[in-house]
Amino acid sequence: MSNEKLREAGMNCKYINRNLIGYIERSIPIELQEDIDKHLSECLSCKSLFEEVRKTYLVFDERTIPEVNPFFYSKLEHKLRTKGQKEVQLVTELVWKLRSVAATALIFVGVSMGVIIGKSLYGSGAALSNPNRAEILQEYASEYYLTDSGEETMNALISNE
Amino acid sequence: MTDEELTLRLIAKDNLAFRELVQKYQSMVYKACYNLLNQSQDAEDIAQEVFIEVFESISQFRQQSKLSTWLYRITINKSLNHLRKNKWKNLVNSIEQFFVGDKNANLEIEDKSANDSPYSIDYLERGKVLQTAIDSLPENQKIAFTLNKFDELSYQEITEIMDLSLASVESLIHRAKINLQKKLIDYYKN
Repeated sequence: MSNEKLREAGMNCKYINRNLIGYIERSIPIELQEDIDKHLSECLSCKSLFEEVRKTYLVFDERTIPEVNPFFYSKLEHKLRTKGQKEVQLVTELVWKLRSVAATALIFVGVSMGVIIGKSLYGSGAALSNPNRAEILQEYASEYYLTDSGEETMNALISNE
Repeated sequence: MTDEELTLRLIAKDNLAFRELVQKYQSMVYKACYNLLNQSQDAEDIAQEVFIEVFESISQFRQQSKLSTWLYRITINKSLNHLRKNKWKNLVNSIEQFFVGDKNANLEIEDKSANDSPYSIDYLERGKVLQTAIDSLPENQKIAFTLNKFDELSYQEITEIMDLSLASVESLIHRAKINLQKKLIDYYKN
């Protein structure tokens, strides 16, 4: 409901509450101010509420803001100087960290490449569980016979031991 | 020295010009920080950050607005960032206090008994109530209201700082006052 309608309806307490700050600041039309003046002289409850709100709303008008620190500029100068130094330090630390990460990454890549190459050259170890293992071993062993009897198999050699 | 001359010398990294800038605007910046943060040490720290920012990014100042307008904008951004960071810090502190207890409880009692404050308890209480009400306003309303009421800037100056239309600024300040009114009435009625 607009202020006009509230005024006509005589709902004064609600009407007052909607315009308290405007009344405190004297920023509402004169007619409204006069209405509120009249109501506050008649309604103790609104008057008491108005006093509390007014004192609180105006409390910062009485406060004094502390003065700026007289050493404000020298502290600022110091901060600017040390900020530059800190930035250099941060960059140095970052470079060190990046180097460590790069070195670790290189080692990892190197080891991984080695494993991949190893696997591709010698198979995935499936030969060791291959049922034709004996044949394979014989083929390798035939190149490395330690005895003269070339027909003796490696298995026989091992079992003779 | 005019602000235009000052700006040109700042862009040329003239230290004397920077000193002059600080001397000219330190009170204005500090006061604006204090009105938003309500703490003198925080206000000083943020004011210093404002000038550091100016020193580092003066070349980005296009001089389409006044130097003071640009300073206010940086001040508001830095102050709001500080308040947002503190919100998280206060949340963590209150969680910590819940589990661990208030380590500063004894310290607070000592401070209260000191009684060196020139202000009455009533004044301090009312200050807390008003500050709480202002802090609970939406950000834009709080900025517009604070700049108008405590920094005593005109609506026109506030439009330049907040980059809003005059109607928007009027609306923000009006709504801020309505909200404050409501909060204060609710507080005292209860």
